[in-house]
Amino acid sequence: MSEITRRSFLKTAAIAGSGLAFGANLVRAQEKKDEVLDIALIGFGAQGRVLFESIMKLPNLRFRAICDLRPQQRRYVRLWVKKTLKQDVVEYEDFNEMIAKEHTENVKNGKKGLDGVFIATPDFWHSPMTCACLEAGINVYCEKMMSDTKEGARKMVKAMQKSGKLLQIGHQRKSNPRYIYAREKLIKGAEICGQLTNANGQWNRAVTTDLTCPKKLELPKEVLEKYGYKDMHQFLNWRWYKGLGRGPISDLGAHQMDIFGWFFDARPKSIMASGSVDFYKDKDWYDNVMCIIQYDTFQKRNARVFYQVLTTTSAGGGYYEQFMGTEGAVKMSENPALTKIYKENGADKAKWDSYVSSGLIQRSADPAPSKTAIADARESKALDTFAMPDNLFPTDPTDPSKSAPIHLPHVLNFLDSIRGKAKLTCDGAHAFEAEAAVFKAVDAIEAKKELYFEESDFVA
Amino acid sequence: MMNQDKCNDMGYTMAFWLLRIWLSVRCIFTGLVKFQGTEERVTEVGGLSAEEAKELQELANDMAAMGSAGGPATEKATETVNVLGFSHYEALPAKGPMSIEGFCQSPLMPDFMVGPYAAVLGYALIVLGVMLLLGICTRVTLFLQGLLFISLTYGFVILEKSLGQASAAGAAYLGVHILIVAAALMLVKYNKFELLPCRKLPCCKVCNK
Repeated sequence: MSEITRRSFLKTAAIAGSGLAFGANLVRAQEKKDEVLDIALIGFGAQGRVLFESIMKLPNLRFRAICDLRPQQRRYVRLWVKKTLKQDVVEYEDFNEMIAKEHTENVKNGKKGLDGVFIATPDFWHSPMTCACLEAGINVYCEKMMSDTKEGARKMVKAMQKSGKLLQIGHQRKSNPRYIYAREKLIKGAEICGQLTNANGQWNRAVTTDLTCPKKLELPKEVLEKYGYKDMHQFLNWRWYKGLGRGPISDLGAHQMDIFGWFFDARPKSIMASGSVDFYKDKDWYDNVMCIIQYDTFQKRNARVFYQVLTTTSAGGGYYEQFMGTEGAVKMSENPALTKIYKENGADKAKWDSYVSSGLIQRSADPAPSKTAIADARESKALDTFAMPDNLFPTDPTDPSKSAPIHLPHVLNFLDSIRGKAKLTCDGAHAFEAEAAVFKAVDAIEAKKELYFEESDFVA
Repeated sequence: MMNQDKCNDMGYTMAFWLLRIWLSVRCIFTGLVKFQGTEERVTEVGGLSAEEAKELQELANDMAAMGSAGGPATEKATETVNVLGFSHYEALPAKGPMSIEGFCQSPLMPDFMVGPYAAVLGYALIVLGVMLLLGICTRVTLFLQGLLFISLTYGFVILEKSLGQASAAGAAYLGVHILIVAAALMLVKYNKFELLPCRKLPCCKVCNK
């Protein structure tokens, strides 16, 4: 990292406050003084690849093994690592064999085992794989959802607690400096929204076709059946099948429903939900879901969340989580272009000017509100728009001209936690609590009524 | 006096050699460029052998075909290199302002001549360049080079409407070549170091007269 980048990074971190921890971590990672960690990856599908790309950008790692059912995927990772890091990766089809050969036998023989395993497989494999790794004494980074069943997720938390090893769940927004800044500095610190009364969020996306693969890449039927898949279509499109995943509300919603509780600093009280298979007639899981969730926020007041996952339309502005209060609103998204801060017209102008002058927020480059005549006397005027400070998100460790991969901070948080230099931002127990709303949403759809959360929903 | 003449002759000889070398280089390399093309070559990348790099690229292509089911961006394990080869021979491009298509469209150029001309142009440039450099039938070689440059000038002239000012510039540029060839022919009697002087060949009696 160049001096300029480093300086700008530290400046950003100083502004970001709590983001400082991450900034320091990244700078340190670049200084190549950290302990070298031995790691492995289980699952090289779409999400596995995203994790892999972040991992490959970080120094002080020894990529020991790749486990995937598909030999081509394994070979690809092996060659890629050999090319980039000049390290030899061992390929495995069976994760138990990988744990035994790469970790257990080595530890028994006084050699170094695995420090961490990244798991990015279909949801129904998360729990058995995570538990096997933790029981063997390996720290685990597992993608969300924790499991396709509540019981599976519970086992993961118990295995984490019993083993004393780290379990990071892939709710990546928890390590995103922009989200940390919004929560710590804007929502909770300055209470920029005033009294939080509502939130809404969504992940809308257009109709998609089922995933397919070239014939030569298809797995033999016996391999598919051995690992719990009926056929190749199910293997590729597992997210839609009961028993393998929990559908879009879990797949997409897990990331965002977690954020409401995190920003409100509260557990949900109740949930109403409606969903059905409206378009994809051959799917097990609901393609469109809408939920209303109630919280008692950190302000000790009630707040209501409307959240939807629609997989049949991309209308409505993409994916975001928006927190609305009496004085303003903060709209968050992993996509910085969708992130906005709005001032209510009745909010104290002097106070908002001080937010800008202190550098807490900045004026948006968006055009001024339209002067179009208001159609109805009850309609509010368009709101003034503001933005978060620039450069809260770090640059790419290997190319400072680019932004770091979106999940790199979460991966780095896991690795630095193994090194004892950070604390997990989303450990298994907290993830279990965060995913309670996702599990309950499906229950509420089936029950067709408002359901109330109990303590047992949040504690494994 | 004799020494003075010898010195003058040596100056003319060196002047001719300069023209001879310049024209040779001009012809040989202009001809060779027509055999130049690009190829994708598997290269050693990072810690990979060429075979592994090729395999990595094939795997990347396979996975890209799977789309979001795990398709990575192609990890390029080849590089584009400039190479010479008969398979890359192209004296005139197929399309463009000064192309086979362009000449065929001109009423001043019979279609049937364009293909053969393009087929021999590169070879002719190289052969005449090598002959001049080595000193094989120097006078005839220079004269043939002059004719070749005139044929190229003709090409520029007949495409004046489509090439515009480039046509006049090209013709003038080749005109300079003709002047150099003419100067070389005037100095050729001072030539030395010929592999096969004209007078040694029975067919060159005309030149020797």
